[in-house]
Amino acid sequence: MAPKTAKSPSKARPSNPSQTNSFDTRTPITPELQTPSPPNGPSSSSSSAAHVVPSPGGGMPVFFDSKGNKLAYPVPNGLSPAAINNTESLLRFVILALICGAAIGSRLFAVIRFESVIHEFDPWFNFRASKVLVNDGFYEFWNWFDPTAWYPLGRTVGTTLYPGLMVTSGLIWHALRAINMPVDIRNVCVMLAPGFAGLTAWSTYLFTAEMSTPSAGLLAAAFIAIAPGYISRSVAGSYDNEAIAIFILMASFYSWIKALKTGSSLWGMVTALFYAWMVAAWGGYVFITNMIPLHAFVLILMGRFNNRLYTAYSSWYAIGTIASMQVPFVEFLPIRTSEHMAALGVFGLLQLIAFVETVRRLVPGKQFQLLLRAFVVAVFVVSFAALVVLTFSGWIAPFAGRFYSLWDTGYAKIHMPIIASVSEHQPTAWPSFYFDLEMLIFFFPAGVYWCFKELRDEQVFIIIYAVLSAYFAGVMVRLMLVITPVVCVSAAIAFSKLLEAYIDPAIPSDAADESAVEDQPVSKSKAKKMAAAKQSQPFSFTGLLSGKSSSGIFALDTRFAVVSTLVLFLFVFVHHCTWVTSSAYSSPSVVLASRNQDGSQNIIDDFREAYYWIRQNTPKDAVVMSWWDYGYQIAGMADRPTLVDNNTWNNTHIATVGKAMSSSEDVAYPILRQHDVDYVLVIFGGLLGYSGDDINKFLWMVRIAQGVWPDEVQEVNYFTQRGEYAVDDRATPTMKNSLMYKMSYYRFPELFGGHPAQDRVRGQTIPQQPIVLDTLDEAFTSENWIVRIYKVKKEDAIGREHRAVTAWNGGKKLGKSASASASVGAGVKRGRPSM
Amino acid sequence: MRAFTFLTSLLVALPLTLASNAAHWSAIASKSKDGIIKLNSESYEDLLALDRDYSVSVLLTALPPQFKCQPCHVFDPSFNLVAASWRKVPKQVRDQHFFAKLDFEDGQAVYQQLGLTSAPTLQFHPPLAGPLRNSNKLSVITYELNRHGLTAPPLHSWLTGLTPQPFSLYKPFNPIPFIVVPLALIVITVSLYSMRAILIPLAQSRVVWGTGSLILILTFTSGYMWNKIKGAPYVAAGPGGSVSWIAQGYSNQLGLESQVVGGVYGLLAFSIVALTVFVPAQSSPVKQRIGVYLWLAMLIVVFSLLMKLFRMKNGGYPFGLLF
Repeated sequence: MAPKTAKSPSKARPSNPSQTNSFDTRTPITPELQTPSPPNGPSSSSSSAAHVVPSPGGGMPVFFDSKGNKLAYPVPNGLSPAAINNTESLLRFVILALICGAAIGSRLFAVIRFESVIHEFDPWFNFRASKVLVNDGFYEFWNWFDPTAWYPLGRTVGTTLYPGLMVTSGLIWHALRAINMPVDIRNVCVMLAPGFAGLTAWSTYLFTAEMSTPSAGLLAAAFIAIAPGYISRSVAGSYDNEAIAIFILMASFYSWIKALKTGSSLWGMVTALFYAWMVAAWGGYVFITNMIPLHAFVLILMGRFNNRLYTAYSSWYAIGTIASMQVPFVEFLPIRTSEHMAALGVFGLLQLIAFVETVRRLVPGKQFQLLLRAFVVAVFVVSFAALVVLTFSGWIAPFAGRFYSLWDTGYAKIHMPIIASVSEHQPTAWPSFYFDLEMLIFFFPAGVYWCFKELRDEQVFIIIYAVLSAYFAGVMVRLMLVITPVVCVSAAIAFSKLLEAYIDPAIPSDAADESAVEDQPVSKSKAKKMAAAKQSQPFSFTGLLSGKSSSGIFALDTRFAVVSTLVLFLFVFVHHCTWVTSSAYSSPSVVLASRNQDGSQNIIDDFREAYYWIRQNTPKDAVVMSWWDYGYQIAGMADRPTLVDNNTWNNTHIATVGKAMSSSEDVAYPILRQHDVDYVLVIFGGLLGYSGDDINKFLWMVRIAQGVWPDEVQEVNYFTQRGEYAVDDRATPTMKNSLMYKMSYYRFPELFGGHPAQDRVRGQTIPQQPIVLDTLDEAFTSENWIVRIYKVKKEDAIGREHRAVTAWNGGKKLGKSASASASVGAGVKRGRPSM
Repeated sequence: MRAFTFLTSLLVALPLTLASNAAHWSAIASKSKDGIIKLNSESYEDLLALDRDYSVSVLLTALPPQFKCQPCHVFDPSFNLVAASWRKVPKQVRDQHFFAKLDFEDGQAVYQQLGLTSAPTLQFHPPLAGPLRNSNKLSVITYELNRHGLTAPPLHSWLTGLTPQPFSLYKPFNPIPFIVVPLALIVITVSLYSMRAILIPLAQSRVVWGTGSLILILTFTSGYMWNKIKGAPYVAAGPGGSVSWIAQGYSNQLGLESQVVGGVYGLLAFSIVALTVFVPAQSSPVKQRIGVYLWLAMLIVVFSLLMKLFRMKNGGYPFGLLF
């Protein structure tokens, strides 16, 4: 009973909404009832027992509870509060455990269909780094310099990655070994995301229970456990930063709310520790860095500054900032970049306000207060001006391009083609929202409505989070991940309010009843208090439409209709989520699956086939050039040096590869030789209809190369006169002579034996005349032609041009024109060798 | 204007022997406003002779009103501004690069020869002879208007990397913003202060903020930003001349389509709120029953329509309620 008696309704000030809802802060152990089950233990002895009387009008029986209130259906009576409470706790625990099980289970499609394999691109690097961590130890990992990436530059990995993910899985691996469970690190990595999804469900439950009721919390946990928007990033094998980041996000938000409500610096410190973990784990930590200050700032503007806010924020900021600076990749960013300035500014503002409040309390006098207020404003303005000056003088870095492009949406397209080229950085069309969230997307605004209606401090947080993340998710598909938790929480609040309104067995007394009239003049928060005290009317909306409004549902059939509709919605939601997860988000993309005509599954394993070929058949130091998408996979699976990879830190290096791919052999060959390239790898989907191949990405290579060499590579030259991107007869000479085109379609028409060679991705017919490669040899082509690997020829032993060698081997006479153009590339023409 | 064009073409036609001579073109350029050489089909060929030792930026445009080329008119001042900026560089460097303009009216032959179907087009022609020649470069570089837009700064930053010497964009001093902006600020501040009796309650009103937030959420979750970034048309022409408001394809949408979806989300959310708040507040059991069934029917029917709409976008979607 402790929290209840500490803040009894009579003592609580209705003007402070954060205090009036103490019943929401209760842990499940407190003996009050959360659910609207009517019997009130101690008072029941004084009132009559429940009984049934036939209603005078209709045939429907009417039930009464122990206090004589009318009920729609019978409820068990005479249960002790302890029994009810214990049952509730047990139910909550069991339901949460089942939800965690569902969260893990629904993410296992990929493991069951294929095998325990790491997915996609970035996870391969994370996996490789984790192997270094567990095999070589933490210090080796911390100081790791990888000479095989970004050949010949190398990469200092330890200071250019977020180590949180690897350290987390390394700790789990060590913990399992400590209890004599030797698990392969690969399995730890594969199962990390589902495991943390279970934890996310739990932390979402805690967070929502703080916002509303524990039953809403359970709904929110169930929603986030299976919402496709989150599953898309956390299926088994998707070993990426986001896998653990969403759990940390929800946990730090929960502890922030807890700190704000209790004013305890311990909870502030917990928030700071989760924040530090987040900083170590994901670049998206900037969202927390700005979300919490914004919440604090809005609370200040709303006139809700208090010491709890001060304690919570100050302890979070001080500890969190220092802790986040321990990550080598972050270091001094928190005091040097614009993304972090809001947190610093609000910290300063809070100190000022706290100081002024203290002085004001001690020193009376109206003029003095005015002076103080002016002082606060002046300091705020001056420090803001100082911030602007520092930014423009270059001391504080302006917003990083990645973040800036969220506001100025046209920025990336012009200035950062690498960022714009990634498909997950595209804006989100409405079907994606529906696809990822189904019915939650329209329960979401209803939940925000409820937050506005109650508008406690913590609900302000939900509102800010909702509006901001709705914008971010609209700008970038990738940030659907950030909106999903708040949609689940908010939708769960709306859903549980609706469900509770129709499950609540209490039938409103007639309009003439004095209790309804009595409730009217009371303010909303006080009414809530009374409702909580009475346990019979959780919602009281007095004076909503007319003076004579009641609250509650009269008839049983309407209750049944609404509840069964909601249950139907839930069923559809579960089916939708399972279908989406199964059909869209469970493909490892390293292994592909297709259906045969008889419906049986056909596994396409070209990537691993080709990478293992490289691993087995090339020297250990052979440099493989490919587009950057495949850099991590080559390093992870083939274990060979690469020129560029998915850590796109060096734009010029990527543009060099782009230039080599988009230029003719004469231009490309010197580039290949200068970079010691031994093998060139291209992805070609034309035979199978695999649309994510290099020809479809080719324009981005051209664009990125053009950004660095605008006078040598021109995007328009790859389009036909009519502006089409063609690979058939209409293709421009520049296109046909480019290395990428030649490598993709080399010997492709031969497959069709004289029939038109159909590219099944572009739906175009490839010209029949054979493509001649002078400087490359075809080394390997995988079963379905998805991966094609070419060996770069060394310079001719007797100094001939490669083109001359090709002509010689072909038994052709090197014509005048051919020899003339052959001399363009490099210097001296030697003529025919005398062999 | 016509007379001027005539005069220029006369000037060009007279000393044909001097064609591709930088000094000759320099004289023409210095006579014209902004230093832009006005071309026609013949002088185009002369200016871009194969032995040129200077580079040229040629704007192929269609300014006369009968062509209705809106972008041409937007882009023209930007080009003029950049051309005028080039005049600020020293004389000997200035003669290594020329700005020229060819109107469709004067050079239809050139348009046909280049196979151009749209205007404006800006091309950079690097020198093909002389000390500035670079063998490895392209013979012509086209400015990508779609990517860079029609304004002057991106054009300048593109061109300054190609000209023999970088130059800075010269902007004529415009005093008007320096008067208008402070004045507007003062007017806004004063009017806000004088209306504070109305504005402060508004700024503190929960209803205003709540409505605003909900509208923002509905706008963003129905794909408004996609429309804005990708420049989606409001409606599209459907088959048989009808107007279609649903775009084909899963990752594609139209302006009206996203507005309808936003409205549907809003309607569904309102039904939920109505069922939770308005209906239980009804004190007459009969009216309440009607209210419950009405709003419930609304919820189910609109949700079914939403699913149907989604099925139209994503053909393989297997679920649906009523329709």
